[in-house]
Amino acid sequence: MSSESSDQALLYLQDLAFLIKARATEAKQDRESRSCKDLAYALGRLMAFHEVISLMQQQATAFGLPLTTLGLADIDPDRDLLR
Amino acid sequence: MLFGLATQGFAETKPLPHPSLIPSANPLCDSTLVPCLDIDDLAAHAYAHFLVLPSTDLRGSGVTIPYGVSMGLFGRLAAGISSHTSVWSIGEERSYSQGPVRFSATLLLYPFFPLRVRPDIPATGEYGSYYVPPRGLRVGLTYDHEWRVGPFDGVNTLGIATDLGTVRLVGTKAIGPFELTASVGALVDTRKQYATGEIAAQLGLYLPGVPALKLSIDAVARGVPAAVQQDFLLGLGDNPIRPQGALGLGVSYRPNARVDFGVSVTKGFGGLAPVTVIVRFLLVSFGKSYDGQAMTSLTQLGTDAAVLGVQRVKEAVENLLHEAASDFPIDPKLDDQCYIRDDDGSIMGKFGTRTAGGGFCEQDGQRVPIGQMLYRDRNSDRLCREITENPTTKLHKLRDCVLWRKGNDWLPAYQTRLNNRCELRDENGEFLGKLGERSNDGTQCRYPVSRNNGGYGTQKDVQEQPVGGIFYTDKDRSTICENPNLTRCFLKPAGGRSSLKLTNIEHGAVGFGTGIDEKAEGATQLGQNLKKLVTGRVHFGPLKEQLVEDVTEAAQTIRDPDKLLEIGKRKFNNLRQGITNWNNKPTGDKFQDAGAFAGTVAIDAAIGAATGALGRTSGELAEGAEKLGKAGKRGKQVEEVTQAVHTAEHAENIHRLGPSTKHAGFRKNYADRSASEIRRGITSLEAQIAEHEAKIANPGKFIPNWSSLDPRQQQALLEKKWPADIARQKEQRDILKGLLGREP
Repeated sequence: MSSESSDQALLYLQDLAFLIKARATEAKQDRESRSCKDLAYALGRLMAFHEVISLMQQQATAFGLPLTTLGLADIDPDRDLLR
Repeated sequence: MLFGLATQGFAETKPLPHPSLIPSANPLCDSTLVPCLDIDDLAAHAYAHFLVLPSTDLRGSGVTIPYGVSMGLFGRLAAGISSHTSVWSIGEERSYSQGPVRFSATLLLYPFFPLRVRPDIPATGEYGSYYVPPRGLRVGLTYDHEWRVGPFDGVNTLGIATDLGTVRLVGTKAIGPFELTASVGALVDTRKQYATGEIAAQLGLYLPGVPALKLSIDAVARGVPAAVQQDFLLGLGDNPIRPQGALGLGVSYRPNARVDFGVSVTKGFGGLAPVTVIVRFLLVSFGKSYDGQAMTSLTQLGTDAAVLGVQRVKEAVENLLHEAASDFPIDPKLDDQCYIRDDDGSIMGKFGTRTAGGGFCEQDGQRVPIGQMLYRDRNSDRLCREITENPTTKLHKLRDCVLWRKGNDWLPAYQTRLNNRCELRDENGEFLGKLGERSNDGTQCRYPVSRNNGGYGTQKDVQEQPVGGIFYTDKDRSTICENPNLTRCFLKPAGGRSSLKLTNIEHGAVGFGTGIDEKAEGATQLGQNLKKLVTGRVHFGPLKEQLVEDVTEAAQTIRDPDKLLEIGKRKFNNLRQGITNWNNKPTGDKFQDAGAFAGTVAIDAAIGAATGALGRTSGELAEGAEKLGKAGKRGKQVEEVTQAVHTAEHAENIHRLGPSTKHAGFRKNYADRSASEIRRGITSLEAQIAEHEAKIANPGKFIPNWSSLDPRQQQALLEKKWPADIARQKEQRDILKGLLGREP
């Protein structure tokens, strides 16, 4: 992969991580919202984000990538998404 | 006021002869006779019930309407205010009475923690949501104070014109689909002129299959013991507080914590109404648990009833009459010491030893999760994950068994599954055999069998097994049977072999045979080459070259170069997809599929058969050999196709296939790294594996609010996510170990 492609991939991953974290935060708020009409669905959605972010972090670690580089260091799915 | 208008023309108020007991002021309680401890986290309700009173020897028919408001706080405290009005007839005369004001309170005492009890989210089943009662023991107090004030000056529940306080100690516990509630209480005149005792109980059954429906039997007895002050006794007659009792039978519909609809019938004794029919449906709720479903109107009821349908209820009742799911005791599970404990805590046996991670008990390579609730049969011979119903016979049977008992020993059940290609595969995905062909409706695999027909030789017959069926084998894969204890077996290895497992070479030969029938010669050599391919000692290069060669050869028979180019691209795309699928298969299958692929290539390469294999698969025209004699034209076509194949980005696409396969990127990431870097990777992965195993063993140590998580979250983490994380990390670790051990 060329250097340009590597840079693009990194930027893509950083933005993707940001977007997924934002969606996960929304899912958590939905789960805790009083107006949520389908709590089971909200719980399932939140768990899906927990699994995705957890998997991204573990894969990053396995690849030797610092979580800060990917923008994944500021979220702990076990702490922040399990409610 | 409305009631005052409605009762204009009625005779003056007086006590209702043969009165009915008044239901709890808490609309989350479904019993008329027994209080309950179901309390909302934060919600308020307004309700009215209808108690229909058939005529007795003391009065004509009548109706009593209890009504009131109540609210629940923090799942621990409920309070309400209510009253009731009765109207009835005696001959041509119509009468009514107004009951006292009743203040009610319920306090959940046990469990002590958490202080704020959040009720479970309603579960979702086949027929919609349903209330899931807490399974642990709950103990609480209820207090009702009947206050005669203003127009609310009727007699109290004992039929005496005084204020009355009633305190009850209530306990409730869910056991399987059943729920038992019992109470003991005292009814005390607020001036302490008399008092008496009361006991009551309810046994409820959440209907299997339709758990939103609860059937219940209720009973209450009171009036014994009784104590009355002498002066007060003289004013009331010889025996004003007499023994009374009532039996009740009810059904309630609870898609949420509240009772959306309920009907019950009670039979009273000792001066209570001989028969009372209680109907409850009029309820308006406010609170976070009832957003969007505040009202349980008749319309809503009608919709729900339509959804459920008479047939559904009928089926549910029929299920009860047959061998019902509730007949299978539930809750046996493995404890931390790998003892199999029944629901009552008794030990049924022991299975294996606890794994290092602590999440499973393991024996002979088979793992069963600790703490997972299982079903057992009546004889305690099998432990399984599911119960299924035969749609024809309505009989239930256990499915997805994980353990079976042989004498005093519990042994693992080695499962095999029949997929939609009628292949039997074990839990590792290994191919064990093919069971005929799918039936026309696709639900069964039909296979021929020979039966010994006495002295008249053998008789051919056809048997079938369901697609998706779970069957059982042993550790050596020596047979496949319908039951985990290896009875009703239907498949054994042929030719004196001891196992249904195929060696890798056999897999290759099988696949090769599939590609070109009856041309198995050289299969062993092919298998050996394929083995090199699978083990990574050779790569796809030879196959790619073979593809180019094949298409080039095929081009000699095709007149239209554009069609040739199209064929070349399509064949390549098929190859690419095939390789992708192939990489995701078990190793044995790779040999088999690779063999078939090689055979197919061989067919396509055989120009003489081009009108067969190639023509059938592509639909393209092929020309006869007599038109291939023009060397110039053939040479041009070969050149064009060769160029087409090379310019179709084959090489690049094949190169791209790497990242689309499991861990290919991971492998590539480490392929050129030093041994020390790889060792660091192994150490990191092993630390992650250990952490996940520790999470399974002690999740509360890692998840701050573990005990308050939804049980479905807990189950998903314990049984799916964390084990999957561990499996993936072990695969990655093994890849790194393999890289360390590679030849320089």
